[in-house]
Amino acid sequence: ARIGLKGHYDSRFADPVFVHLLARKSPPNQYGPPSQTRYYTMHSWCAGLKVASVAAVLGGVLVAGYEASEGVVATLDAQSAKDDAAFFRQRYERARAQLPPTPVHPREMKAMVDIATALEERKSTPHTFLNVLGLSLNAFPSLQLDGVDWSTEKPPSVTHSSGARASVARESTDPRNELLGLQNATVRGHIAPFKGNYREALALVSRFADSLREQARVRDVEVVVFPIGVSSRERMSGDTQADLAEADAPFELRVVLEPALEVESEQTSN
Amino acid sequence: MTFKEIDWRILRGPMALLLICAAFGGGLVMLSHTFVTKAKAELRTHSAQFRSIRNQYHGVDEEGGIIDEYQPIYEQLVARGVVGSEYRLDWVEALRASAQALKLPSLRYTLDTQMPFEAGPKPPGTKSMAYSSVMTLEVGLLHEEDLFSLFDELDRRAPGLFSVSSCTLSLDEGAIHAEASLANLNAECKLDWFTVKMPEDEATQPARG
Repeated sequence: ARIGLKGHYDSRFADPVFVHLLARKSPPNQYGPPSQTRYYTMHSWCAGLKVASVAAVLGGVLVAGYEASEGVVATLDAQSAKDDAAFFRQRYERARAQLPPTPVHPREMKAMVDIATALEERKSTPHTFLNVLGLSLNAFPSLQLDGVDWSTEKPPSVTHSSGARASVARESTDPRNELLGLQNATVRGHIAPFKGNYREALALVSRFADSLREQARVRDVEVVVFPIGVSSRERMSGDTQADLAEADAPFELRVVLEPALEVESEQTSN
Repeated sequence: MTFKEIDWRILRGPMALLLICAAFGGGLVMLSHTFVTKAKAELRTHSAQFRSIRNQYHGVDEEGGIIDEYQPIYEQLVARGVVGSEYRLDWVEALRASAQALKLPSLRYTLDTQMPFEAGPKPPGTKSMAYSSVMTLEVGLLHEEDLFSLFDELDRRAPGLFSVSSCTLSLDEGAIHAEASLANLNAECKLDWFTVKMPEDEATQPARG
């Protein structure tokens, strides 16, 4: 009772007394030193490695299994697509055999016909321009032509000798006109007979240009060379003793014609 | 525990086991990945083939309509020499015959090599395209109407399709001649001779003309 041992003590051995005395106070922790726990640590590592091994195998099996199932589905779908393609190929060949034979694929045949049709529409000659020119020239018998340069290529930009842009060139709205191209020409000539009166000559050439502009087929006219250059931007020279009647009075005009389709559509809408 | 304190005899076995298991798992994954990649590639190929042949099958009706509408015109174009190879010799013979018929004072020609006509239309999804050969004519004329008569004669006699792209007319200085052998007017004109075909035709058809 003095040491606090409860209960009936009837053993002839002193072990319970010693144990009770020992258990009365919590003994300090006694961990094993690293030299003694070393193998326990390594044993834990071994266990961890074995678990990791199992996890690696299981993980591989799971992932491989999932991908394999996807692969099987894809294989089955591919076989199905292959069978469907074979089915349609058979029906296509049967249907195609019922069509009349053609030297080229129908799509190419249509393309060639469309291209040829577009080229036919694009066909051009200088005939129209010379008709337009002749129509105006008839009213000006003193204007003599020296030459005409006609082309269906894109015309150069047209500017007045004063530097201002020419009368507004109407933009073509018909996409076919890109293929057609505008017709443009340079007309070179001289006034004959020239009586030395430059004022009259200038007025004559201007009237001729106006006469061309009035025609429906003409988009734009620019007088590039007047019988005498009176523009402030040009250099002038002459001989006051020279006989004006023997002088030259050349002129040059640049003319742009409307594409044929645009004129036809305007005429239709009028 | 330091590196030196590790008893490798104990760890050797489990580490080897881990390596083998990792290799096994990795190998399974690689094999399955290869399998699924190949299967998906095959699926894409066969699906594309299926879509293509199905569209072709549905297009057969449309092809029938195209044949009915366009084949007669196509055959006419082939007969006219617009579709297919060039007829160069025919063009030259037509020039000679026209010059003789119109009694032109002079007519010289140069014909360039055929080139793709870049400004021509190119229907999408097809290989057909226009080709052109540029012919340069140097003509001595009595009257400008002879030039248009020449173009009309070429239109009538020569196979194919042409368009005049440029002309330079210059009057001869001096008096106007009435003799048919003397030119009052000189013209230098460039003509585009068009043919329509597929690029492979150059390899499969023999050159004509």
